[in-house]
Amino acid sequence: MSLPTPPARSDSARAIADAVRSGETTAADTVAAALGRIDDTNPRLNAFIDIFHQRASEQAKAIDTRVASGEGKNLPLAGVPIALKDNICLGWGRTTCASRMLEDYRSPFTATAAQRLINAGAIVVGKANLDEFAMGASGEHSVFGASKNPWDESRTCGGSSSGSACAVAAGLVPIALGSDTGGSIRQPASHTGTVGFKPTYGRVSRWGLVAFASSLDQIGPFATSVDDAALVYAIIAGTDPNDLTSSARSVDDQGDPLATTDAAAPDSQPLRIGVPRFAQSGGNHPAVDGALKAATAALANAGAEIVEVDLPHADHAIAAYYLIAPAEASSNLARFDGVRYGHRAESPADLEDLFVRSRTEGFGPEVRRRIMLGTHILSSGYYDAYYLTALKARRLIAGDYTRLLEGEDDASRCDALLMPPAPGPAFKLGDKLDDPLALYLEDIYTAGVSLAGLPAITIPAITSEVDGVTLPTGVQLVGAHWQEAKLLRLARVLEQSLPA
Amino acid sequence: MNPRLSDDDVRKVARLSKLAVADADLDRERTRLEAVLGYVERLRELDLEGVEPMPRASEEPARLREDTPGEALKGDTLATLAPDVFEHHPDGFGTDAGDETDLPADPPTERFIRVPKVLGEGGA
Repeated sequence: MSLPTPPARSDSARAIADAVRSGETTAADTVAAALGRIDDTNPRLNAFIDIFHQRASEQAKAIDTRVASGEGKNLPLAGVPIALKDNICLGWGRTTCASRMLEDYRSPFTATAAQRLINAGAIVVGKANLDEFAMGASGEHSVFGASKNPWDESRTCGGSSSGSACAVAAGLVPIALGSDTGGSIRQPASHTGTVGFKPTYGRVSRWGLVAFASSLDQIGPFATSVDDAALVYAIIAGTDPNDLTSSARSVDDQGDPLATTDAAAPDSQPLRIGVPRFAQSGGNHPAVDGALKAATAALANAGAEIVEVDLPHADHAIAAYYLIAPAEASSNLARFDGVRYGHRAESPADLEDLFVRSRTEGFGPEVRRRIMLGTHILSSGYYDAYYLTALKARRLIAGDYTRLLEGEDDASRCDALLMPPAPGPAFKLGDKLDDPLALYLEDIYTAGVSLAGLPAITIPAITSEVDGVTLPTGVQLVGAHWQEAKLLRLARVLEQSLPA
Repeated sequence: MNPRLSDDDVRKVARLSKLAVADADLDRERTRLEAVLGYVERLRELDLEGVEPMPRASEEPARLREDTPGEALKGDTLATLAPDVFEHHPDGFGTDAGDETDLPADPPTERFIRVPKVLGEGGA
């Protein structure tokens, strides 16, 4: 049996919370229904690594008690079932990073972003599958096996936040948290027909997010609408004393970033949307060009001015990214030594043997490969040629974006850039597994944005026939640093202007 | 110019990474490393003269916190996470605690993370 196409959607998080708070339904019933859907579907889709039946049911009852005693107004996510990518620590259950290394790891604390959602009344129903340590673009590098795309189960959900995207796309939960280092929220959102939002680097606390590449990692939401993504964003955004890389600047739009505007033209008149030429350079699947065309037409209909722009260094983003991210990963993952936590090899002969065997047994092949790549480029004699070169290229790549989005000249500055989140729609499981470079090129439209630290959001643009099946394809809107509210409003304009 | 790596280069980077590569896998791992290193050669096309490296995604000034003691995870909690723990009871008898998943109600006074002998005859 295969799922209907398109897959059934959950009610929105906002609608669920409103219904729970008004007494129209209960958190207990909502969570029981979500767990029922997950139990029915997860054996096929493999969206979840762990499901918290008992704990979620108990927490739902506790939310109902609080709503009954009049606390509902403090619970913007009252009774909303959510999924957390399993590289986000939770104070119960396992936090595995889909790795044998952490297969039995139980975090003693809960990540700040997750805790803020729980404090808002959300119920964590399970931990979502991912590429091991968030390294991958297909979900296939998971020790628990790949998540399958609800639109066509022979295809990947993208990655690395494969399970989070899968769970939202299949209607198992209305919202989920993922993490994005080089595209790991935006690409799977495109492949599954969901909204995926990566806020500005530093906007959301990463305390309790297992580190992959610290100058790039950011937590963000998956949702079925811009409205729900904004709702989650407003709750998780803001500084955290436990994470000094979280920005101290205030989130002036906290509360409801969408509240301040009617449909069109929030901040300038008319809106100017830049479409980079490199994103239309001929290497895209026709579905991707179709999505870009549909979004361009929708924005033009909404009154926006569409201009072609250049990102002269964009072609070098993947090269810079695949030096910087593995370099940082090799350093971050040095902590896994078989001593303090994580997998430990049996009967080590000596300390070196303990380190080497614990790591070789604990990490999967892609993680080991990226650690070795990162170690090589940071090693004596190669550091300047690779790492330092990549950091300089990063300055040029980032400068292209900031010149367009944050430049001094009012006449040429864009309100947002419109580009694909990936060069193609969801691909078949196994298709790119033996060709790491092909998989790396999935990040071609997302990695540069990550290197610049900019906020970006994927929203579904079209569905089209691909090899006999209907698949969704999204588009990505990229905004200026710290201007998430404006970006979200723009995304909603686009969402409302696209044909249903 | 495509960078070429020798088997010894791969062995060296594995050793620095604290990872083992089986002899049978050396060829495959070498080829894959070379493929990425070959791809990134395109960065040499850029004129990077005088460009400042950009190590962080943010231009925000780094924040430092006051150097004051705060709450941290307790030693006993950390010991429950370790895969091999030795408990030393005040009466002098030790027990293995490797399979413990929860803290005992009355934790012993001393818990140690076990590691292989570091010092010894001839060194490790």
